Amino acid sequence: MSRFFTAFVALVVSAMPALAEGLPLKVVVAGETRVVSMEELESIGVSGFRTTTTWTDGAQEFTGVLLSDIATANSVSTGTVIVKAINDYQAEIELAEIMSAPVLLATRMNGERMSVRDKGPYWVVYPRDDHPEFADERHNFKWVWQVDSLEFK
Amino acid sequence: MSGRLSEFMALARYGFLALFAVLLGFTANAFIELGDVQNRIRYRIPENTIWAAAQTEIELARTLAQLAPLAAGNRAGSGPSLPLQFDLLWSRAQLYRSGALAAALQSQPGVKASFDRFQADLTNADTFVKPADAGDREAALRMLELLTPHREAIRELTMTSLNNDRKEREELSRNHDLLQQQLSRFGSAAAILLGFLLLYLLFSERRARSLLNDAKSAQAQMQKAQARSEEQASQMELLARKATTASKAKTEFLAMMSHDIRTPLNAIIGLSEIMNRDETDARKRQYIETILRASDSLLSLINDILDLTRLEAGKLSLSPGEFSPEELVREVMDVTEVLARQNRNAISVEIDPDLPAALIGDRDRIRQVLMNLVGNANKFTVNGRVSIQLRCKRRRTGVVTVRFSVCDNGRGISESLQKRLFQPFEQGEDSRDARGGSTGLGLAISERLVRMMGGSIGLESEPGKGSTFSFELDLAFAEATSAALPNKAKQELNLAGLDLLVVDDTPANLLVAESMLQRLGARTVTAASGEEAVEIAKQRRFDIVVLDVLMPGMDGPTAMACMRDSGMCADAAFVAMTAYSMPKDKARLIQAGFDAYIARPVRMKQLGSALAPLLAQLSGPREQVAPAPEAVVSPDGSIDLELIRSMAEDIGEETFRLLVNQAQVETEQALEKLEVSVSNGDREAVRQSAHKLAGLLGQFGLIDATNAARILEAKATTSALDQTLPDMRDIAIRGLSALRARIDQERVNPHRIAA
Repeated sequence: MSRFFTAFVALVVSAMPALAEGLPLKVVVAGETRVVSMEELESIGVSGFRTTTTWTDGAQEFTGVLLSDIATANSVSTGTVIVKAINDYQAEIELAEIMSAPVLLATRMNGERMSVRDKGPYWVVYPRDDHPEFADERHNFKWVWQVDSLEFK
Repeated sequence: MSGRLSEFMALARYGFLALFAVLLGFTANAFIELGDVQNRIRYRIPENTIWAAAQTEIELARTLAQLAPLAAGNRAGSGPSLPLQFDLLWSRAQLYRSGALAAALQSQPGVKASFDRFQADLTNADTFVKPADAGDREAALRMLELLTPHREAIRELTMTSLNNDRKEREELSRNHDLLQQQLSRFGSAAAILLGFLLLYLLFSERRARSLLNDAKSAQAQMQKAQARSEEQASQMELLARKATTASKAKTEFLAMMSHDIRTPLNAIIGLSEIMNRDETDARKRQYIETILRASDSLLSLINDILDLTRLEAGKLSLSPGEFSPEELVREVMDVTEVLARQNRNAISVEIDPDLPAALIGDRDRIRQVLMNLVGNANKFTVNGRVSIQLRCKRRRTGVVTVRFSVCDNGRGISESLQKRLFQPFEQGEDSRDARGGSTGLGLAISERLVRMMGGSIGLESEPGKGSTFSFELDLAFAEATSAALPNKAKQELNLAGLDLLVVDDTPANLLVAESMLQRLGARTVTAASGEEAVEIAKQRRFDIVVLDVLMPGMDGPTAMACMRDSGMCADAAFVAMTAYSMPKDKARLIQAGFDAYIARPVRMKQLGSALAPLLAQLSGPREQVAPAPEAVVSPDGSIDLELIRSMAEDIGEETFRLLVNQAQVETEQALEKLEVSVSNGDREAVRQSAHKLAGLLGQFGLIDATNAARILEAKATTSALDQTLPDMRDIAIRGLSALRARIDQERVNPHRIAA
């Protein structure tokens, strides 16, 4: 499945490169900032699920990289991750939470890249349909969209 | 009443419970609802309304802030580039077009319309983003013109959201309060109900507790009562035991007393008999006879008490034997005749011819009962008739039912007295006045004796007309004639030629026993203690040793054991003499090794019956001198009464008296002659004189004397005569004086020679 998606993403990226241009993701680990391109990010491994959200009509298919995979790729397993948005909005997520559930840093919705106007290019998506414990609006503040940086602490 | 009340209480209880359940349900529902409201308050979606509006307002402000320098022809300020800023604004506006916010806008058409306009202007402005970013002032101005008017609208949106939020909050709060009120109301009601319920439970529990306490106290009282009744029962048991013990003590006391009275009585009767025999002064003899009568009555009283005591203790045992009913009745008649004569009563006897001549039963006990009944009849009848009847009621193989009845036409017995007549110590109202007195025990003893023998005493009486006492007994019988009956009296008699050692620590008793044994013909030696007796027995042989059982120092059984072990009396027959007369005492003594037993007071007859069985075992001249079979012997055993009675009848009383005198003279002469012969050593002369004397004495029924003479005759040629003669002489003289005494006692009634 993920291979199919990888191949699919590669195809789409090559077809529409403009959308995510100029908006690289900053990953801060132990105070050190590294800028990661979407391709680099997705090379960690792409996952996906279908879920409803508070901000969309009906369930959507999201794909992207699991926050747990990103943490593992950066050799982080404890602490918190502060997710910041382009407009300076930020939310702090317990690493324990993302390590035990497939929380996605989505790069696509319904197979398509997301523009800033559509909460792209990165959107933290919780699997609220598969995991009813997240189907609570108390978790809504962590659905950070237009993500600019991930800071592991 | 209480049933209805309890029904009502039960109903009330159920009502309470139902109400409580309903209230609890309401409370729980209210509580859940309240929780829901609280959740709604807590998790209301701020970003959906205020947040989203405020963010939109901020993004719009930032976009306008970026456009302002561009429109003025300057470079844009810091922050994201215009296209990115416009994208951010766009994305905010997009939020109202889908999801929860879009749904929220549906209910607010005014807001939605202004949003639609905003969206339209955004779309217009979008076309100017690139030129404006490239430095086109017109484009930037155009964008400002398009977007600036919406600041107010967005601002208004934010305020509206805030107001809406406040309203929602207020409503929720109101709902919350309402629910809380409801909750508190239901809760209070439930609490009150719960309180009632608790009170009720408390009351119930207290009631239950009090009931339990009542039950407990009732139980305690019951236990107390039970303990009390148990205590009473044990007290009663104790009393019963005490009573039994007291009764036992009484019995033992009576037995002791009888013993203690019998001992002196032994001396009184025995010595009186001897004195009576030897006394010639008529006045003195009268006194002695009075003493004897009084002693006899005292003895009969003691015997009565003893009998009753034994009967009540169940210690009296029957000793059945063969007896002649005819002889029995005659004896009873003889004995009671004195009283009959005193009250001038005519006695008649009627014996069923079908009655067997010999019956088997306890003769002495039957005689005792008859004696009592006949004695009573004579006592309470004056100038009347007393009849003794023996009827044969049923006769089966070997067993006959004999009805003994004693009839009188005396004063009779009142009905009230009849009922308690057989109780101990009950007497007729005036029986104390009756001559001879009464212990009041006679009938009680008789009734018990008859019952013991398997019968019952019946009484028919009418005051003034007379009484009939009767009892029936089933008695076995033997097909024998009265002639074949052993006559105890005949066997009791003769101890002539036998040497007896008599041992007693009481001189008077010793004298009585000695006298009586001598009267029976025995040669006696006396000892005053067990030790002395043993000493004597070492030197001399005796045929019979009569021992007092209780003596200070060596007692009877011990002395017997010593004599049996050593000395010359090892083969002697030992006879115990004691005032204890319970059957078990006798058994104990026989077990200790005694050959026979004599109960005190010692009487001739008892001596005879005790010693008779021993005589058969003893060798010697005894067997040669058996008296004539038809002889009727006087109680002291020395005179053949039948013989002298017939003599007196044949030759007349006066002549008989003369003959007796003559016999006395002749005897004295013969004895003198014998003495001379003995001192001369003329054995043949002795033999002849003795033979002659035996004939003389035998003529006058002097059995002992005759026997003694015959012994002398037999021994004359072989033995030493120095000792035999004085004995023989004594016996003869005594026999003669006894005969004189009998003659002097003789009454008008020819049958009453012996009393």
